[in-house]
Amino acid sequence: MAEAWRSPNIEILTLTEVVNIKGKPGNFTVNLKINPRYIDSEKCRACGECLEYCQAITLDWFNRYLSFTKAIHLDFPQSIPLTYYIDRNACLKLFQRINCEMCISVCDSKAINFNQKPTYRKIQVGAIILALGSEPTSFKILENYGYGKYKDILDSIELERLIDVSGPTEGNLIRESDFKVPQKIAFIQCVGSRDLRYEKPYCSSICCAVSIKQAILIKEHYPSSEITLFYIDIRAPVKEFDKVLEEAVSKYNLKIVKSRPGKIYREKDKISIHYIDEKGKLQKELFDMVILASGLSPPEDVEKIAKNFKIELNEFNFAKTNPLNPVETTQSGIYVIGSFQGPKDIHESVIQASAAAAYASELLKDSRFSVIMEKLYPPENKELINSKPRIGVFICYCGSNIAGVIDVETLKDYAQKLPNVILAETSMFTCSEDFLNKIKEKIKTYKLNRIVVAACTPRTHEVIFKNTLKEAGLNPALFEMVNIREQCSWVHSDVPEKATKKAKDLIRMAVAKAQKLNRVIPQFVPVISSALVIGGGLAGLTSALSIADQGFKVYLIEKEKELGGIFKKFKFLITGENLQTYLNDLITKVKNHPNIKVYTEAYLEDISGYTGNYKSLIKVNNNYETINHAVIVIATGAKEYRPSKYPIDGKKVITQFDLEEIISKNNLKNKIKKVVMIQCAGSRGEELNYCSKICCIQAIKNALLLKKINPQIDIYILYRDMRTYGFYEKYFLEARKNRVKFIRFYDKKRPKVILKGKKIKVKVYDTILCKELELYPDLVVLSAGIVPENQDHLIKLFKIPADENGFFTEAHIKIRPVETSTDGIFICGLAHRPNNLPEIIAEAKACAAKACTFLVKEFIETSLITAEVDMTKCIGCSICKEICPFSAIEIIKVNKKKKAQVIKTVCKGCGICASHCPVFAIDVEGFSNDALLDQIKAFKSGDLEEQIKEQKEMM
Amino acid sequence: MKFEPSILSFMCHWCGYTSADAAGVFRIIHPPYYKTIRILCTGRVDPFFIFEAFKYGAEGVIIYGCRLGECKYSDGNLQVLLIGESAKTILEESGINENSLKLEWISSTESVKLVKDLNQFFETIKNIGPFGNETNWNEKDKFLYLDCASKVCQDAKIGVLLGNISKKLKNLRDLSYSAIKQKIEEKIVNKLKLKWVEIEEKNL
Repeated sequence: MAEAWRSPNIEILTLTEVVNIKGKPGNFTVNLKINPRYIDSEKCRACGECLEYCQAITLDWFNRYLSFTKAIHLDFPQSIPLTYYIDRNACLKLFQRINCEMCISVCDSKAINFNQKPTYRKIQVGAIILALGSEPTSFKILENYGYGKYKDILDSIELERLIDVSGPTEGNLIRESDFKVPQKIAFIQCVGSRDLRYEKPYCSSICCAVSIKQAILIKEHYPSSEITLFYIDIRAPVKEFDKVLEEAVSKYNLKIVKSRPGKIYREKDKISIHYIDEKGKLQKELFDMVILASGLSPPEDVEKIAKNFKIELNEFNFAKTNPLNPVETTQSGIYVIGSFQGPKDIHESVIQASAAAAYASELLKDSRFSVIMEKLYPPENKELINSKPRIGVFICYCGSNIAGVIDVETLKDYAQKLPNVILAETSMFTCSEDFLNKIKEKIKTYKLNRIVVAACTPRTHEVIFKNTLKEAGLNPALFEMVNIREQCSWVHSDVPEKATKKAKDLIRMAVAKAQKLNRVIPQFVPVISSALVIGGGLAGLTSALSIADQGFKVYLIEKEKELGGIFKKFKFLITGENLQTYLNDLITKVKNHPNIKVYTEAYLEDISGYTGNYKSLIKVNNNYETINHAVIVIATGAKEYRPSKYPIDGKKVITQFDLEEIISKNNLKNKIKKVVMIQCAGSRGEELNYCSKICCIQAIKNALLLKKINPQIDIYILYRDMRTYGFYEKYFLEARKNRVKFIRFYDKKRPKVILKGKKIKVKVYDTILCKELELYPDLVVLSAGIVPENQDHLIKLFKIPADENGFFTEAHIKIRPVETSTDGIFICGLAHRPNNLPEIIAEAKACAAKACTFLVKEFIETSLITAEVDMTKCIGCSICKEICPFSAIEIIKVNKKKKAQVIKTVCKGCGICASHCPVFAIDVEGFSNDALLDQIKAFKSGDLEEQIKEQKEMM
Repeated sequence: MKFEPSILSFMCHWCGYTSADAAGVFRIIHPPYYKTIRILCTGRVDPFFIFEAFKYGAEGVIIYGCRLGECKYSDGNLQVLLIGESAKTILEESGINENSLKLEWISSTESVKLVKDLNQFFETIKNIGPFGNETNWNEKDKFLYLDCASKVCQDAKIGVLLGNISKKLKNLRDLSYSAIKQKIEEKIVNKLKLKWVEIEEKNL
């Protein structure tokens, strides 16, 4: 959030609505209405004085109305923009017309303005991305579960706030009725999802994972609590989820019950739930607290939104998209991402966001760079920088925020006496434009070459001051900030004298560190504007085409003779689109694209270099070719798994892919009257320990296809959990309507396939009838799951991590889902994780967008904070190379001796290498050993005072 | 006068430091017994920093890293876990209460937890008393012993050992707390003790 806010090329308009849009893709005119905040963002310093004095108390929507806030407030301390706002429906003046105006009189920076009126603005844009989110389950549905009627029944968002340490109860889970910690807690899944009664036939996808997470958090906090989870099917379309679930069940003793509770009512101080247990008996159980796992619904004003943007909605009132174009709305040039497109988890939203960026970038490639801003700075004053440290200390009053507690003037006197401090000054607001100009002047007049600012937190303000340094011709690395507001005056206001002393200490430590700061000049490493895509399957093709369409050269290598990958075997889509036409079309486009060079039967032999500058050696038909490129997209795909426990013969016992082949060729024998499909054959703990995500949907798709060919075919699907997440639930329903029979089995009692001569027997333990059934089908179809192609060679070449199943792992599962730990290497498709087609296309597009963030640059500018190796000290032990999380260190030979060298473009400056170097040969700019050591040494006041004395004596 | 501890905290920019800022925004009042050094990642904390801090007047050192598994730099906090555990071994060896050093894991919004941990740590240090109290050290002793400890950490052989352990753990893809603890006990405790005696002899 903060990063987006700081970007010079993103303007964030809050409190803004879209009135209407006109125009066409590439050239839209959008009329906006900007509602008043009643506080001037430019002036507000988020000191919170107004909050203290505001007289209007209101319920806090951010905490789901579980706590109070004032009319003037911030929703949460990290909000962007960090500016208070007035809730016009709560403010005494704005709503009740009482002339209160307390806030005006206490605001030092005169930021409050009740005269603000809505303003209108017209903006010109090329593409529009809708990220409108979704709503939680409505009260109307929740009240059927006793919500609102009985206390101690919460929905999952309320629980989320309660167990959050920064929430209304500081993370204490308490009951509304008696403020006690609940002992027995029930989670009820699928509230407002998978429920035809309330016209919510779809699955909300996220609630199972959310509830399990919440249950784990509760158990960690209150180990004695007993948690029961009522569910229909446990679903979470993430491959790691099964492991988490199983661990939670065994480690925390979670009770999971496959049942939909019937009656819920209050009995004295407890909530009573009636349900049918798995043996078919009616149970009545008492709980202290009940959590309703509420689902996701489309935004309330969805119809108005659709009209405004002229987009179509799907049957569930979410934005309509095509599975082959998962983020494009029915209106070209308008894209939709996140849960407005359909219920989904965080990482999928993030992937879609990047995918939409790729679409927009393809659309707008001709006008790229036409409106972005770049700032120019004067050259650095080298003479000044190289001379002895001359430190300037600037101390902020921040109105009364700091000065109200800390005696700022004594700080100034103290700072003045510290070694090498030439100038110490105070100011009302250091970050105000006029004082920043004053700092620039002072740098010139006093020849200052190190600047220390004691004010608020560097997290928000360091950038501002560093820019000021740059504008004054000083290297921005020669700056140190002391936090005497958030971490001193605001938290130690009860002991002003001690707070002043602490501020003195902090300034002393910062000044000590500042002496040892060095100038850092970022390096500019040229970028080769081409990409390497490994794998010519659907993901690789999509990614390559998108990068090429964005205007860059792509080399695509495929190990097979033909392009297309595993999806060539995927003959049909459950949603009805013709996948093979699409795939062939895609292959033709890629083959004929002027920006793409395709190598088939090619093998990546070796790779050297680093982000922005790779050199790859590829082997094509016994010839070798070298390719130069900046980034890599890995899309090496997967294949169907062949479980060893089942007698697959290709005739009577086949896999889902085999069946698709048969159906597509019209080869289904007439005598086949009874088909048994076995889900999780080999998956989820049998031979593979993960869920392959695609098989449930594939089974239902094939079952429906069979029913279409011959409605008389008897189909049994044996399953553990039907994972038709999101809108796929629709087809599950359709299959049941078409009389496909579903039989659930337990993990420990999996079905057995026995071949006896020409007959097949399938034995399965039915969990509803509680007995073993014997089926005699004509055909057994196994849903076998998928396994990644062997990737050991690539893992070794790129040194990027893969999980125990051989899937590549991302840098961060939620927020960096297609990036690897090495900059410039991206992963997508089935090589990354089992996935369905729309998600794969979105992932491939996301990789393309991420790859292009490197390709558009002429140079990669290295960060100011990077590690640096002192070659004279280095002993070439290569510990640093091994432990660097980003593979940013290489071992080179200098005079035949091994030495470590930092690849500056890849280094992130974490300093792990520096702390592990046995001979202290590595240092991190801005956090060097010397600087940190001096900062530590200055912890003790005595030493420095002696130094000051010495200095005086010398003078 | 009541004993007021002075504590040095190393805070990771992305979690501990952010939470400390949030504590400010929420005005969670707590005693000013600590001073913070901001670092980008707790993995930056060199073991000898800890002893230098004690040497220069800190009575306790607390390190705030991201929750295990949530490090911005993927495994920096696990590296500091290794460093912290070995530092504790040296603390024990030199007779200093090992509770004078604490590692805490926190996310970026847990201001309440941060203050709670800090208050708890203040109490711990208050119970331990002024530095060197338990060991009956005078200023000179304290300086000497801590100098030894710091030198043990700065020793190249020990450094190589530590580096190799973290290398091995990383290759095994097992940076769990128990694995780290086990490896330290297996590989380094004895070496640290030996080195300690060697340097102690040289210095005293």
